[in-house]
Amino acid sequence: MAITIALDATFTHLMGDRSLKTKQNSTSREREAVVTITVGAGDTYTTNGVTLDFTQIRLFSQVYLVNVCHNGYVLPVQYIPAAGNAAATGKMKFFDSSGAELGNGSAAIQNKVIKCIIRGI
Amino acid sequence: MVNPNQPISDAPSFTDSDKATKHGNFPTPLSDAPSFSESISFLGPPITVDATFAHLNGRDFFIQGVDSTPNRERGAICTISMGSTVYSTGGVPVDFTQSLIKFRTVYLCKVIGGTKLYSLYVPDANNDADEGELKFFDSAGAELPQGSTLLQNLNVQCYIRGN
Repeated sequence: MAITIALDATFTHLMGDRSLKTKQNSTSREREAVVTITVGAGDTYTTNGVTLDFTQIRLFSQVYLVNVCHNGYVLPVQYIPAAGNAAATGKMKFFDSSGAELGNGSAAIQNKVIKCIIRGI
Repeated sequence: MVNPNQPISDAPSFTDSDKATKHGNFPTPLSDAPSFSESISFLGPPITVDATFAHLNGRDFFIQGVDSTPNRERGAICTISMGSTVYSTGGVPVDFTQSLIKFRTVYLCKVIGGTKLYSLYVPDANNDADEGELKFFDSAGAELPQGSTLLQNLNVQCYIRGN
């Protein structure tokens, strides 16, 4: 089962239109969305982070910031933007209670749900 | 140019008639909000708006320019004063309908300061602002045990979004 990313249904109507722009009626192209990342039961950790593809969220092309708000994993996580902030290839790193990155193949991330605010274009 | 030292009292505000026109059942104006000295009971510890941030979204907390969008989302940075609170398994109930905040729904609450503990907000199924719970975890990621006093006297600062 793959890691899934979905626009949080609670927030789909809040931006006033489907563009998710943070500033309507302006030249700013920045967009914001609240998304839920769900790690599948069979997914395991990959050294240097699991890849998150945000292009499936209303065609985001870049994501420069992921603000983790509800962390179902509890322990620290860190978003690593891709080169050029490409929305399809950013990574989320997971750490254990000692601050060390999880080992390759770790099952500690399985079934975890993380709610984030993403910003990009 | 924005003057960062501009007094809050100079910030533009809505009149009650503006609110009624644009937002229908708009929250009660802050000046009419009950204070803690009144005999109103709320769930959980007292929650106040962080004075440093009280003016950032205007006194109504709306995040975006309400003149140009139908967006009714609101955001606030607030402080939960734990006082003598002891931890309850499943999370501390937090009531964001109280005091100056008066949110009706809260779908997002991120702890941004005031504690080293890990935390996780569990919204109510309907996102009711007075039904959410804030779970806390120790440094190993284990939920605090029932009756833990680790929260006592903490002033936990949160960023909330809702309406």
